[in-house]
Amino acid sequence: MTNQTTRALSGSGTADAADSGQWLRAFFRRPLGRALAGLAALLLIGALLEPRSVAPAVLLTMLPFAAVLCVASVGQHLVIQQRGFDLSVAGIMSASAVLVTQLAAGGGSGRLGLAVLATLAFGTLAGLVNGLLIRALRITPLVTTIGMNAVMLGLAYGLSNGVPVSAHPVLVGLMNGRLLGVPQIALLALVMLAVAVFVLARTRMGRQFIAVGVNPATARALAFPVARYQVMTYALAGFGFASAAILLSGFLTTPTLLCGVPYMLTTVAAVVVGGNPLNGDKGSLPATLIGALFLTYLNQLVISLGFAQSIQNITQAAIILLGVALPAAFRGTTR
Amino acid sequence: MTQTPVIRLSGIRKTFGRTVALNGVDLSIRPGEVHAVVGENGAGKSTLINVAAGVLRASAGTIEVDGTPVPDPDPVTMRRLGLSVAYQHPALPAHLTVLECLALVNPDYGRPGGAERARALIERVAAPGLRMAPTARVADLSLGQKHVAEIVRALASNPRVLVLDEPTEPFKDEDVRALFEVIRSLRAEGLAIVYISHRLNEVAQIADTLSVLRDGQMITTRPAAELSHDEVVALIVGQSLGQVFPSKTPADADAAPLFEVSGLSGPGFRDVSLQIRPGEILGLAGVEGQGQREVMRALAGLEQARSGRIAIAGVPVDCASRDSAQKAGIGFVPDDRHSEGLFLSLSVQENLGLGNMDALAPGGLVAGPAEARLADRAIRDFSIKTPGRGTPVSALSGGNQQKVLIAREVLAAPRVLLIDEPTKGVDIGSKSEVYFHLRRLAAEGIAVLVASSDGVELEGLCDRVLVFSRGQISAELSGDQVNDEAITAANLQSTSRREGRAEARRGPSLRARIAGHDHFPVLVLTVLAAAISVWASSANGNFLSAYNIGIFLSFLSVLAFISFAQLAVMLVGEIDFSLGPMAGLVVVVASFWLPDGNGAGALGLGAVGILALTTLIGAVQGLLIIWLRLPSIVVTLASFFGLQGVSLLLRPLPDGAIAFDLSTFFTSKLVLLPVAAALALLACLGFEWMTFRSRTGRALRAIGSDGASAFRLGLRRTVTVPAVFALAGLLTGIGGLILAGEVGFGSPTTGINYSLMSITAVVLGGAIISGGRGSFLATLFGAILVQVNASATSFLQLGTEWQYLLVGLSTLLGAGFYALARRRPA
Repeated sequence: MTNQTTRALSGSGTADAADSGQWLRAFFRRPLGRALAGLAALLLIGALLEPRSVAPAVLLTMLPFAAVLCVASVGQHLVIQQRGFDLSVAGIMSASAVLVTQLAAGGGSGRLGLAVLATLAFGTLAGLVNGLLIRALRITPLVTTIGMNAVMLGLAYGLSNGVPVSAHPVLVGLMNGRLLGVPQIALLALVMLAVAVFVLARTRMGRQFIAVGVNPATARALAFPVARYQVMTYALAGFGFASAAILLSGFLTTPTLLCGVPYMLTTVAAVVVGGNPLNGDKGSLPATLIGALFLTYLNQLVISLGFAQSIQNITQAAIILLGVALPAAFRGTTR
Repeated sequence: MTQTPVIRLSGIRKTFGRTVALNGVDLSIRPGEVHAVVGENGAGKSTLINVAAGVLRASAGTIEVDGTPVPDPDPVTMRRLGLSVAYQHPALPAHLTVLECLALVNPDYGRPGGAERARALIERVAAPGLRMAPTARVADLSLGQKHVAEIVRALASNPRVLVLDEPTEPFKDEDVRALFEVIRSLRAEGLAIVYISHRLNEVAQIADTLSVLRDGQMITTRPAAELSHDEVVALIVGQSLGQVFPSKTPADADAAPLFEVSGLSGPGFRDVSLQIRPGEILGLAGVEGQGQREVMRALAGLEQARSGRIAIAGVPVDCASRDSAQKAGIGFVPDDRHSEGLFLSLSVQENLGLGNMDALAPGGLVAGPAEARLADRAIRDFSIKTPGRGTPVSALSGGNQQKVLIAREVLAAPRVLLIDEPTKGVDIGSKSEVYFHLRRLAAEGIAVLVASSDGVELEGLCDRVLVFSRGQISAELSGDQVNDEAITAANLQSTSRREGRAEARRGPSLRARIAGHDHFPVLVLTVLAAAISVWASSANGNFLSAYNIGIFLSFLSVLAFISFAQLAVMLVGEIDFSLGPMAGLVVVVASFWLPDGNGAGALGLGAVGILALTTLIGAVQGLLIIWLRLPSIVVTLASFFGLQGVSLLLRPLPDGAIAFDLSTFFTSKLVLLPVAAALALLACLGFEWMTFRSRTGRALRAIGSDGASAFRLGLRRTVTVPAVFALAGLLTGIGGLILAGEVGFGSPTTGINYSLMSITAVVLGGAIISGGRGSFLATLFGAILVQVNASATSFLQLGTEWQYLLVGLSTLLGAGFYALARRRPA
């Protein structure tokens, strides 16, 4: 009995020599461990290919992009934790960027505050509609969010009449300023991530949310409100996408109409590269942050090596496949 | 009895992880005899059948057919060799018709006259009450009809060995008699019949030879006539294993009951009344599917009871939902701890904490130290063997997992504890511990209700046992009667009349039949497309000009081909997000391989090269999905961006004229239509025929309906999915060539929107998104509506927003409309 248990836990390793090996293996079995190792390897390669790309000043300029991606990816992370995918991220971000710039245009900071609140409410509502369609009508998450994505892109065009507007100067100042040398936008993203991590780890709601993703049937047998969590996931994701769009608008000053489109791939990629499971098992939000940093640095590196946008697309596609394939292969060999 | 066996299994061993399901089983089946295999639940009957059918690979042992070993048994091989199984859970893909299921295992049924043969076979097998039309869809059949269809399907491949796994479960007496007539006549024809059942009285009527399986071992094989009923029962039960049980404490018969249920009726059970007195453990016995599990679930609030009264200590409680039952103090340990009991990938502490959130997080914040203390206490009190409270539950042994589960429920301080199968898959040592815990709980004043299929367990653990048969309590055993022999005998002698479960379901209403028809969307879409066209042409008369119609037809052909590709992928239950950029890549590659000024021969060669390229891209994506076991959305989303990257790499800026001949070819008239549109129409009709009339189409739909059933029928998803993605690549290649002709130069950003538009067209065409059902004709009309929208918005200069809004809204409305139209009343 005892023998069986320990054997099951330690694989077939011998007791002494495996001690440090075991610690390492446990580290790499966690998404965060794998993601950190991946990021370190990439930074090393970057330092060899283009030493300037790892200079602190250069890394700091990269943080705003990573911050936006991180916030949007948290939304995607929550949906993937519930075994879905949210492809409406592109549309919701684009429409939210239009909304926050249009609504605040020409007003004071009070108006900006209202615009921000309205935009967050808008994103949440769009996500809520996603969740209701998926849960109540049992339309698959993919088709629902693809449809919603088109509707949102349509709204982005319709609300803007095809002309981008500049963000409110206060927002621009906030998102481009630095606090103790660190971009404020990155600090904001970090605060949002910390809140999400805390809620998931330390609150009843967060615990139940994770449990619903891991096993909805068990959650139902424990009387958790499974349907409510599944719907709210998409609303929260919408909130995350709208937040990301607000950060992006302020940082870019004049966001393009389709500024959200690249995030359809990159948010999924950040979650996947972070080594998070796609089958509903518990993932790690910090690992998703590392995934966002990884992808942002990779983009910077590709640009600084003089390659065009096209190579970025190809490398990202390759990375996303490797990102899922490698952990899968890893799990395959340890099993 | 001296004939050579048709099929012989020797030394079959099958393990699942650490569990040994079959241990050196031998079985020989001879022609012209009915060979019954009997045993308790979990004895290994179904595993043995799955091994014989090639569905499961044995860990050791050999299968011989006509004395020749079968080296590599799989479902197709075994069926070709003449073995056919009617499974307990029918292997019939829900979206196919009965006739199509037959044609999957025997192509003759797909030919003219197949329907008549199918009807004759159905009439032979089933009493009139359970017959169905061969064209009935599996999803529309009643449970009894499904079992008939499954037996018919098993016979359709003209087997030499017919295996019937619990065939009579939902049948009434007359249906059983009809089936036995068939079995006797098949035996007379020289078939070998393997009959698996737990109903000994039925087995006694039909069996020539009887094999008893117990705990994965073959106990005996003897002529049925030599064995009396009681001998069979004794063989099935075997010797009890000296299991250690806690001593029973006699309950005070006069004490007021702790837990009382009266007149409880619901799905699968009727008029159930029971009482648990202080200190007592009550057991529920019955073979699988007699309603005892449903009663448990209704008491737990996981199934809805229709009527009845439930009271704890004399106070009525509400068990309408799990939430209210839990609040009333009813704890529940489900029978399958993996699927419904535990969160396997979460830690011991998290699992224990999740069941006790009220205590740990009264204000919404989880008190970490309290949670750790709770876990430590549970680990100590229940002697859970785990390296630590942070260890994932999946790393524990079955017995310790079960202890975590019971501890979780007990820590929530229930007043009633319902335990379904308390020691399934638990090792002997842990079993005793679980029993002592349950006895202790009963002594502490918790009402304990145990359902179990293990007679020994009920004997050792319970003070009283209620035996279930067909949804009702058929016997109550107490005192000395609570023993394995009596329980098993009561279980097996299900003599109560079979009632009311096997009615043929009434066919769907006319309205539902129209709304559920594969071509119903054509009607709706035609009306909508016509309305939009009328509106657009009333706003601008040139909308229906010959020139505009010509352009419309070209772009419709592009969308049609890409939508056909999308539908093919969706039929097998996948999705391809990369089709748009793939069409775009074709335009770019065409600007290199099909330059202006080349001859027809070079042009043809280039076009073939392009089609080969897209087919290859599709196949690679399909292989990645199978090899890496990735969701298709991850792979195709990656290539959605990757292929755009390749296009931009090849043509950073629009450049390179594409041969004008390409456009001339596609727009030249063939009979009435331009070549492109004629090709699309031909492809549509061809694929439509293939989907509904050919073996390939049936196989695709079967795989999309239900991969597990399809595998048992011998279809392989691992081969089909890459092939379908390759086909999607080919079709998108054709669509891309037409697009290249229209665009005329190497533009790197064309085509991307076709990913979304194709999904919209398929959804509007009414395909079931999760796979198994869809029509190419209806998809063509879906494409027409999408293209009419696109033309109208650009023709009337409505602005880009309308293109997006219309496509997005029609996707959501279309999917929602079909979801509602097809919802059948429960």
